[in-house]
Amino acid sequence: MTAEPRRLHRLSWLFLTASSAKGLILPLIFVFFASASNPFARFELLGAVFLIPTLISALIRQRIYNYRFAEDELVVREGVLTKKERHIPYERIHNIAVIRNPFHRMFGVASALIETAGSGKPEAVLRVLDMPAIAELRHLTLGAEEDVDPADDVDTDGAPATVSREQTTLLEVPTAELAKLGLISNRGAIIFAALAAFLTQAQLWQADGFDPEDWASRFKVQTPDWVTWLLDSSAVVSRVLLGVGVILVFLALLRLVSIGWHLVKYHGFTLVRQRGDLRTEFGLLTTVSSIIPTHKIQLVTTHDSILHRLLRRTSIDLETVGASEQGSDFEKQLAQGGFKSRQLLAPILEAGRAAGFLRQVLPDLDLEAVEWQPLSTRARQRIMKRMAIITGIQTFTLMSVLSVFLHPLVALHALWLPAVVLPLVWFGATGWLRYSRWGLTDNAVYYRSGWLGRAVSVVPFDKVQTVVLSASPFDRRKHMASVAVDTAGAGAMGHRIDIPYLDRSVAETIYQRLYAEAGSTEFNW
Amino acid sequence: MDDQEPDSNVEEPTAEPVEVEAEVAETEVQEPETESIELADGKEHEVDPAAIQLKRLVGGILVISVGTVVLLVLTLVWALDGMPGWLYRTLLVAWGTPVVGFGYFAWQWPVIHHRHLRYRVDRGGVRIRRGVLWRKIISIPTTRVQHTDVSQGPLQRNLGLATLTVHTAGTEGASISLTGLNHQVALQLRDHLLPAHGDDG
Repeated sequence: MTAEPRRLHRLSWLFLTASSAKGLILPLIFVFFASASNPFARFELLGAVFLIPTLISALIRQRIYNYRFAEDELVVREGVLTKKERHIPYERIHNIAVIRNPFHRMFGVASALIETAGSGKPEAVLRVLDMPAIAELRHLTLGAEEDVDPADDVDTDGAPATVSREQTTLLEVPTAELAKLGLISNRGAIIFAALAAFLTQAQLWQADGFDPEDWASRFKVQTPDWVTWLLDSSAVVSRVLLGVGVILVFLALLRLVSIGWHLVKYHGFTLVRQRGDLRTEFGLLTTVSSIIPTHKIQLVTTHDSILHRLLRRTSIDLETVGASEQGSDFEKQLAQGGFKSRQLLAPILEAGRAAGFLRQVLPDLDLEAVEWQPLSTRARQRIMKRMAIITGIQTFTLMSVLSVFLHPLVALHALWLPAVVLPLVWFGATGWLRYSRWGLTDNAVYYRSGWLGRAVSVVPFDKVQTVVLSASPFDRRKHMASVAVDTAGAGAMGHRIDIPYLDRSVAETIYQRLYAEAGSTEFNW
Repeated sequence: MDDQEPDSNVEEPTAEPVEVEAEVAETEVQEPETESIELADGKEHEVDPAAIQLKRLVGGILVISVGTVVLLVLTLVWALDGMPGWLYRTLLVAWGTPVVGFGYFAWQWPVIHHRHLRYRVDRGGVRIRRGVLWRKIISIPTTRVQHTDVSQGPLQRNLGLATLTVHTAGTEGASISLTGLNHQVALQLRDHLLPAHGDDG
């Protein structure tokens, strides 16, 4: 194996500067708005004061940064004043995410994020390398884990997508499907919320030349009568129509934003198997390509929201070691496929194909081979009882408030609350219990739950860390318990193996089995 | 069997009926491996009763110090003519009640807590049962133990106690602590839980 140190690409300083400057953009915008009315503000000077040191530091960092491939570890050296030498054993590297935005592509380079188990942040960020260097990096680090002798594998020919033999495409998501994904996802709302927050912060409303009333009057002058009626009339009908109309337009807009976002973000999503590992690649502007070593997958979840089910689609994501910790690094989150702790395996898939797809991707897991077992038959009674008590208290409070401040007869209207809520809860609980099931096969534990939105999670026995059998006072009253499984790299959010409302004896059986199975398998990072 | 019971000044009747319904009917584990110590007997053990004293000590110090501070502030305000005498006397009573209450709690709670804290070691790993109202049994298979720590605070050292912390690769259960163990037992447990397959963990 070659041991001489390698440098970053000679244009790295450009990207290093850009990445440091990213942190300066918000303060600069703030300064800009804060002093917009100040005639003495010299933005070019201000910018230079910030940018020049950044540029110089980037140039120095590029000269100093190097990495080399030692016998069984990657050695990364960096640091201007404080020298840092990091030794990353190849076997600990579980992913090398490659990120390319249009600027990267313009210069034929990419950023490589070296991710290891355990920490949420990438162990090292190589900003930037050219494509042959990245191919070499992937071969020598991730390739070293396989049986394949890395020595005969160094056939770097420059093209990023070229990978060695044994590559099978498992999934390609066409554009039409991505549009459906945009329709399903609520990403639009998040983007809109972020945008609205930014605009209110920047107080653009107050910017000169924008007077809402003036606009409205100008608008009315050149509009047909019905619009004037809608806007001016104080009739209840027009108010309601206007309200509903605005909401509908807003919702449609959100979905459009969402569709657009997904089309750009997941453009050309492909999942391929490459020497036993999985590789995803997607993105129109910023191309993200990420390798998921199969044995590092800790948990797989399929998601079916109500929209998924209307369109007969499903989404599958997974957790790997180290790929957790939200809010770590922007680029890392990009690499994981968005602002979440999980990696996408299939952003969208025909619902009927899910089991077959999963079998093909991860042959050990078979959703169709599971013998699903129900939760306790007394679970619904407990849910109803709890909700009845909660709703009862709420109703009582509401009634007291109403009769004190209005009239005791008005207070009777508070009875609408339980009359509406309790049947809904009954439907919900019944539906949830009808779907929620657990199952054990000879190599994994399965749990599915949900009513309108549904999810199925799987954890292979060799990824089970600790098993927890727990019982609340209410559980104990009813001789019930729940069983939860802890895995490595579990994010804060998301569906996991945490099975509630089990009869005590059933819970103990599951718990014993999981403890025994976990104890008899080895966990490998 | 290594849990000795010094039973020095634990007034609590130790023969309290342990809730049987919470008992986990665990399948008895096969006989321990040859090099396994008698610790791995697959039976439930209590932690060292000296842990009760430690908890009482800590709780008592907390109650006394907080109580003293409140009392001092009250007296100071009264002495500086900040409040009338009758209010001061009322507040003194109002102060005494929670202090006595918390004091009693600080005295009794460690016993209850102790009664509900058990551990069980077998060839496959260790299981910790804890919680008075919300109860749970956390099981850690030996194969999932990354490393273990035995730590001792100054007070623990005086009483010969220690805390065993087991680290796994998990997230919520990334580190699981068992406090109140006899130091010797903690060391034995640590040795038992050391990854048997070498030192790669």
